[in-house]
Amino acid sequence: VRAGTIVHTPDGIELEIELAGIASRATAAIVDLILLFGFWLAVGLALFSGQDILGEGIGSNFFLSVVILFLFLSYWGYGVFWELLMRGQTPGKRLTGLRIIREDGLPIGLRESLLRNLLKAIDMQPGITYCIGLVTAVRDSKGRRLGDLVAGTVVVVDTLKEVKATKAGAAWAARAEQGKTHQALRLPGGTLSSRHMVMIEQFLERRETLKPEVREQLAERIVNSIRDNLGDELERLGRKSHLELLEKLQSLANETEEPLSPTPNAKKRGSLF
Amino acid sequence: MQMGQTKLQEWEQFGQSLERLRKGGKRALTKLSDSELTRLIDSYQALTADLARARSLNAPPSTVRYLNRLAVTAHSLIYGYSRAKEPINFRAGYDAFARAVRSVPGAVLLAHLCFWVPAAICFFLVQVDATLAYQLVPPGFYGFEPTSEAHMHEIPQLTRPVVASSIIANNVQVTFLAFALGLSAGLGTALLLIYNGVHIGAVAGWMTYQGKGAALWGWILPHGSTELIAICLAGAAGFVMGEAIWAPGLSTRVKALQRAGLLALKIELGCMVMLLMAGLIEGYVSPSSINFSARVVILVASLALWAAYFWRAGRENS
Repeated sequence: VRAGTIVHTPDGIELEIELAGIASRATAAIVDLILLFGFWLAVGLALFSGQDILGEGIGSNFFLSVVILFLFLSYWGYGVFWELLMRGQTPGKRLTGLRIIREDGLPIGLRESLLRNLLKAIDMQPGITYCIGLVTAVRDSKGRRLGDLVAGTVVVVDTLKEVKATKAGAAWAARAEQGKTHQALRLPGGTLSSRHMVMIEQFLERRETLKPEVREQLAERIVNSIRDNLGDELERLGRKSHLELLEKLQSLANETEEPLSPTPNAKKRGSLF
Repeated sequence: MQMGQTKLQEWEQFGQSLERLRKGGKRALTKLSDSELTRLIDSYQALTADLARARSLNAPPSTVRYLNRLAVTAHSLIYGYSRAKEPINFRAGYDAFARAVRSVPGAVLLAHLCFWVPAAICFFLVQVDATLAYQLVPPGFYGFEPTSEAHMHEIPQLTRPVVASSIIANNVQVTFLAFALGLSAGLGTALLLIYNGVHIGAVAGWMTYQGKGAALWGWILPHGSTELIAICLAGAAGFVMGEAIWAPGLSTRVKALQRAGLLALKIELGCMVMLLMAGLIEGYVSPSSINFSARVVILVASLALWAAYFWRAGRENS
């Protein structure tokens, strides 16, 4: 499970944002470095192959001076350029499914991008300080390097690739539409809490993917863990295998659960005015 | 159709439209028609309602995670719209630099002290004991002969653009470092300023000792004020962040740093523009053959200009 951070949006929604791991961030940084070196190599080759532009004369020197400034800018401006163009992503981050966002969940703007990139001067200087960014990112609870800390940004996982709506999700949605939402199951002999019912449902959802012996073991462990809550209800349900018992409990829950819906004729409170 | 499948389809469609919008880049939202935009926001609100329901009504974790990821993506797309359109305002930047510098007199003073005091001390030390120069001055200067009475280097006209841009790149890099080292609680920034002060003071002392002072000052005067003010201000930007670490006041260190970082960034960006100007003067004017008094005029003019700018710019009724 990845570490996350909670963002409260202005419209009152809690979003849980998954922070990027060190490995994926390092991969993104390496990809970006390779791209930048490749770009420099291409510029260098273009200059050498076009010897005639480098001939004598004020024009060629002016051209060369532009190239020097451009190379300087390309090193420091690489991040800023891409992050503004691709809303917080460099090519490396896009490849690894990462994005830089502000701590309040909004996309970064010019100032955040400039701050976190200029502070690479201390986070990622070659030599001793190369590890400063790494160490702070590992130590910080939100994985921020110094540049992120000052700019108020976090690097997060932003890809829809690895998440999917599952069959269980559809089943949940179907029940939710009927107003059934796994409330506690109350039987004459005992009560199973809603968390128990969720556990049972998740197990049954996955049962086809489990090996028979693992399935049996898991079913037994679940039954053992709810044995106390069921009490003598266990006797009433009759002798069944663990798996059958769990199935029976789920179907009981589906049958007995009252739909959760607002009472249509709820008494209206009198207005103060 | 089975119940629940409709929900699933809604989510998947929403996810697909998010992917399309994301591929469309920064301007994707601006290309949507009014009704499409309304529909996007409606489905976002429906989705966040589903997410809240999924959390409180025991949906399977994989579903909560899926809905949450969709909501995060949608949130940054929809609310990022206004920021994506924020234009860069150069006029505001012009005012902001002067205002930022005026708002931190202490840091500016400290930066100037860190630079000028060691510079002055080394200048006089080398006069008193010239052997010190062998420790403080780079070997290149030991037997340095100025090429003319008025200034040190005769840079051929042809290579001046290259010299100018190398100088700009080098100086800007130094200010980046002075700025970023502010995160070492200002200590690194102070060391950097002192180091540069010692270096410049010792070189100036050595040249003066050898009786080549006129050439040195002739060289430095045209661009020196702009360049050295910029470097000291970058140091001040570093100190602003350093102060947030030493004395965060009533907020947490991180919050104080974030506020200070924004102020320091304004100063640092202004310094870059100053260094661009200084580099152009250093590459084109300083090595040219104008005489000493013309150089003094340029110095006085640029000093007056900066004084006026930092005093007046960005004030109410200006």
